[in-house]
Amino acid sequence: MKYEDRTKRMESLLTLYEQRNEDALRITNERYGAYCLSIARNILGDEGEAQECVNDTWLKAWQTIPPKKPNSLKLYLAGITRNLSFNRYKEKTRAKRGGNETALVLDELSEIADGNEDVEKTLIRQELREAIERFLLTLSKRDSDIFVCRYFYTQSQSQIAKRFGLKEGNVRLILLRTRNALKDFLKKEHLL
Amino acid sequence: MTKETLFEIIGELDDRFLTIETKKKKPVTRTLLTAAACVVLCTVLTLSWIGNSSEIRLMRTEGNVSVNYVRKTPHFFPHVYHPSVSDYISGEEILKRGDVDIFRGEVVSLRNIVILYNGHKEYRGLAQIRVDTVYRGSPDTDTVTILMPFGFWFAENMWVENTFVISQIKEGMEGIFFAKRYDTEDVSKMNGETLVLKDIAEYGLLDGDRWCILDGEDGLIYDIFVHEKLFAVQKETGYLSATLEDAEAYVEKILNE
Repeated sequence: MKYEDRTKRMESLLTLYEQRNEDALRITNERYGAYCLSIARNILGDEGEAQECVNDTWLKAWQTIPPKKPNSLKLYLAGITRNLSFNRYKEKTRAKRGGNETALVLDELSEIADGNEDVEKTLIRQELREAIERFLLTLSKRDSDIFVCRYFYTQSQSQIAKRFGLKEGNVRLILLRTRNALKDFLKKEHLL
Repeated sequence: MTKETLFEIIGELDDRFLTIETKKKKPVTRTLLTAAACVVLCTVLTLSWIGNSSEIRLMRTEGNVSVNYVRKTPHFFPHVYHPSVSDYISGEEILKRGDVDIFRGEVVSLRNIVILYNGHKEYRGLAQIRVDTVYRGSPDTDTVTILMPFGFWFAENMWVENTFVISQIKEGMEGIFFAKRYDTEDVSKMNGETLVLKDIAEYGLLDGDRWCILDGEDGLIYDIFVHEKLFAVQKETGYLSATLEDAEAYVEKILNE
């Protein structure tokens, strides 16, 4: 579909939100339901809980649009679903339930994290986010996409391998090198 | 920072990092094999061209069968193709058929062919599609050939049943194709002769209406009765027509069910 058509379509859907027309939720579910469900499922590993997070996503979208007017509704919804799913994941983990792909992803990220809890402060979080973005720009598009597939979308290494036409071992190696490179990058930026 | 905080911060990345290119990158070995296969194919086609420039060489078919490219179909059809799936089938059933690959791509070329079964003629079309996104299946190459139920040009005042969608296909058009993957068991028999369909195409469309969704100049072209869930989206959005992105969402939703 042409970019202009896609933009026009999204803007018209946002108009439904602004008009508080509840058809917006139904159309959102039809267009983005499967996409958001896959994100939630990757994090939670449970179909029922994933569906609850998706339903909560629509409610959150309804509550925040307007005044928010996202440039990409699809990615805005992805971010909400991811946050909600991860919050639920953390509750499950505290209750000693769960343990799935998200646990593996967090274990990998622990190689980079230094355990310093001062990062809760907003300013430092923003600096870290911007630094990670600068780091991703140093990578090839493929390696950047693989990083995002693993650590944003929480896809399994076998899913990523299939998507990019690589062997699982290659994906594992690319992720390992990328994590090491990110750690070095953040150290040079004095953020670790 | 803790690992959980890092995970949360990654969740705040700008949108421009989150759009993933979906085109599969083939492993180097497979790329080399594909390149080698192309060289062999080009050599074979060149040698064939020296003998007969319009003939398609048939590797598996035996008997008195030949296939040639033609510029256009005649003003009448000596034989009318009948679809192999004549009963009603829903959009979900189409998408869930195990022998059907589903991919999005652009129409690179459309060419007519005449198949001679011991002198008896059948006109069909071959569409070359450059594959951009694969939803199910594993096309062997980036460009695949689909055998169409009939030729691409119709004589005036001629109408062939079950051809509303595919009769509007054009070069350069994008579409989503639900194409039957051919193996050596898929044949066409006529006048006592047998053509192995894999000799002329990797895929086939089972009729001209239900097995693809085309992105036309005025909107999507598809069978609204079979793909009724897609049509429901079109009706509710209030737009003049749905888009190929809607069709993509419809396909992914059914495949994920």
